[in-house]
Amino acid sequence: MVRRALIVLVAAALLFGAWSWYTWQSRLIVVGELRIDPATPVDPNRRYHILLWEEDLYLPGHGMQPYRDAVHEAIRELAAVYPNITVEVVFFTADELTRQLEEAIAAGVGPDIVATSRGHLVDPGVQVPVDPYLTPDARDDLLPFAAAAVSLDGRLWAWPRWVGLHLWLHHADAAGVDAPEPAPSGEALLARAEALHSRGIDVVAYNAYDPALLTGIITASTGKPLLQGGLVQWEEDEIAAAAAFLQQLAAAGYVPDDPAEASRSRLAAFWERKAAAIAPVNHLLLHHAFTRVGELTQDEDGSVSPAADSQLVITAPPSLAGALLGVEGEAAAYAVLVRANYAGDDHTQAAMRVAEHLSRRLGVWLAGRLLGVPAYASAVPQWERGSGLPEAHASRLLALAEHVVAPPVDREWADLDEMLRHQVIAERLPALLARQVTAEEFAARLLQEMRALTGSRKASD
Amino acid sequence: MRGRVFSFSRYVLIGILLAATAPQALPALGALSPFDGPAGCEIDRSLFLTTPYMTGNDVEELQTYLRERGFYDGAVDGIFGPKTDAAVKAFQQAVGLPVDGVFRTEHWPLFWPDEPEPQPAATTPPPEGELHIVVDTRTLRLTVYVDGEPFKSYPVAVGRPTRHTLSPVGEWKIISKGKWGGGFGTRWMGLNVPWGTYGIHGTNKPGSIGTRASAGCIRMYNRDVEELYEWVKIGTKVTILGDPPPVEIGRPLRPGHTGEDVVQVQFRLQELGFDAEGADGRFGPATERAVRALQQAYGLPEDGTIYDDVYYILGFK
Repeated sequence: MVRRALIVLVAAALLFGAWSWYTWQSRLIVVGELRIDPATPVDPNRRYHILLWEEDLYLPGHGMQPYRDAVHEAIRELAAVYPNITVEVVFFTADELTRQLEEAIAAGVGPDIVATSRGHLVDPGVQVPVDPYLTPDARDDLLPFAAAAVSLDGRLWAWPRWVGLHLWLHHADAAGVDAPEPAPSGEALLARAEALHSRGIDVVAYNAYDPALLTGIITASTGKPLLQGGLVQWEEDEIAAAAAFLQQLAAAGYVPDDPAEASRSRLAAFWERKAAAIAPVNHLLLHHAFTRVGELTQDEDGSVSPAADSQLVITAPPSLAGALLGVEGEAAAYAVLVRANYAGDDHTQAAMRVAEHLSRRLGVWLAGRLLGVPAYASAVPQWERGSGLPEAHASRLLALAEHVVAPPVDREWADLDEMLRHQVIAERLPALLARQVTAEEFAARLLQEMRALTGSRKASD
Repeated sequence: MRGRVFSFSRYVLIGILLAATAPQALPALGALSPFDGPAGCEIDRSLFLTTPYMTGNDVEELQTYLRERGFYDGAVDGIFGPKTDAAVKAFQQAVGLPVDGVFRTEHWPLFWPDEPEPQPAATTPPPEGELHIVVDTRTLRLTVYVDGEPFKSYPVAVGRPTRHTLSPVGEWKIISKGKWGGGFGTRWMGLNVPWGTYGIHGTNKPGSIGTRASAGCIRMYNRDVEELYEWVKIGTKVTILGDPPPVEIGRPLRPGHTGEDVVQVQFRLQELGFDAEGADGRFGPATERAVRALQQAYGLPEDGTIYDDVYYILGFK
């Protein structure tokens, strides 16, 4: 009987051991050749030195210094919670950061945390996925669109900070702009254009050299990103429809004739009321516009000055599908990396805690100042106060962000996506607007060139 | 015969009429503006009645001092006409000079017989470190900074508050040094202002220090400029602060352009956080880089030039 009891005990112990080992193994994160246990805690008796590479960020009217000060302040706050964690921060320009990071990763060195402006996966061989380090509360707090913008193959690859959107901006009193409408339909915009034309006003002052003028319409109409998994997602008829829409505006005289001149004087046209809208606008141009009309204000106690009526209206680009299906945008984020000389699972845990703190603390700070949208639901009230925008605009931005379609998270495809937009699409857009090529020819040639480039990229893998 | 006499008489009559109106007509012909010619510094010359009338900031300054002392009641217009000539002669008589109507360079100090140049309390040892000179045209002071810290301050005279005689607000460098004399005092330090000849120099008008009297240059007491001259090297930075000049801003600007509007654009780029590496009135590579950075940040077409929309972002429109 004793022997039987012993056998049962040993068998139970073996089973428990096997179960524990299996549980431990299944939670390990594979990063390169490492197996990292995300449950390893920060050791309170160990001192950690975390290296953070930050990107210098321009804040309208204030330059780079305020952001640097904010980063240092956020680091000081962290010291109160983790006195054994020291964060060293180095600031780079965007181009310098990209270049130095590539060299550092190749050499097996580099930072523990790096700020990314597009939320893309820096390098799967050295980047630690974030989702195993999320507490249930943190997981629930992340706004879905922000999480999606940094997710790939079911994993979260960075701590999102804030999301910037590509939008259109309208004069509120331009014929028929309906404030609740998040995106005008193509039909509604054409009707509006005709009414404005009779008063000598262009429906939109555009930048023909910004690919978002076209890609925004395609995304709004299809909800599809340009690239996914290395493949062009847009069909030829979808591109042609958006191209035809822009050409229709040009042919009817609803937009300026000369793309080169129009692109350099669209602010002039908008402020002189020769155009009812301006597109595309990024967060800085939004900031300029709302500051100029005096609607970007903040009381001493941080509360927003309520505006009875706003002079401006934010919308997504027009959708040709009748409903808004997507809005182009990017998520800025913090990625946590490992070095060849691995410092331990507890070190990685410390880096994750720092990155989460910074993403929350600086994300809402930046979203407020740059008129983006924060990444965490708990940050929204603070953001609404900190942005200084009238409530209607803040609500509109949040509503539009729910439709965000972000660039690829995979870095290689993110770089290709950027190249396709700024070199392939942007180069062809002025000729489309000048009606030197038909919409169908434009779409066919564009798709052909984009597929050739993505195909050649895949062949070289 | 009668016809020829009549024709000749007519021409004589016309000639008499022309001669009678010439003194009034000649200023209009010979002095289209008191400020014709390149912008910049003092003109060191003798002033007298001539045809066409002499014009310039020095004439205006002379008229001001003559008026202040009760010798002149005409317009302070920078035009040396008969009234100014009479005033000069009255002044010469009053101070015991030969009354010839010629106001010479060496006569200027006679306006302040009781105000010789003040003597320094003690000589200041030369500073060690990087010098930066800052002239504030609002407080009429020149301050020498050494490694960013104020070292010594002097009173100065700056440009008269007219469109063509304002001191050039901007960020400059010393490009020449010399010992000129006359209206430039005992020392001259030239600045690299692209639209004119400007400098920091001494003076033969010590009573003008602390006033807005020059044609744009920065005047110092001779003993002050002699001290500063020994400290300053070619390339020393000089910043002139002041209210922005009433210059028209809005022309398309591209690399190679110079001007006061370029200075204002450079200042504004820096205020917005785009580093043009100085406000020297020259649209060079640094300014072009700053403009491109602004264009990229705001989603404007990137070409490194200042066009309409860039002016809107800069806040000039």
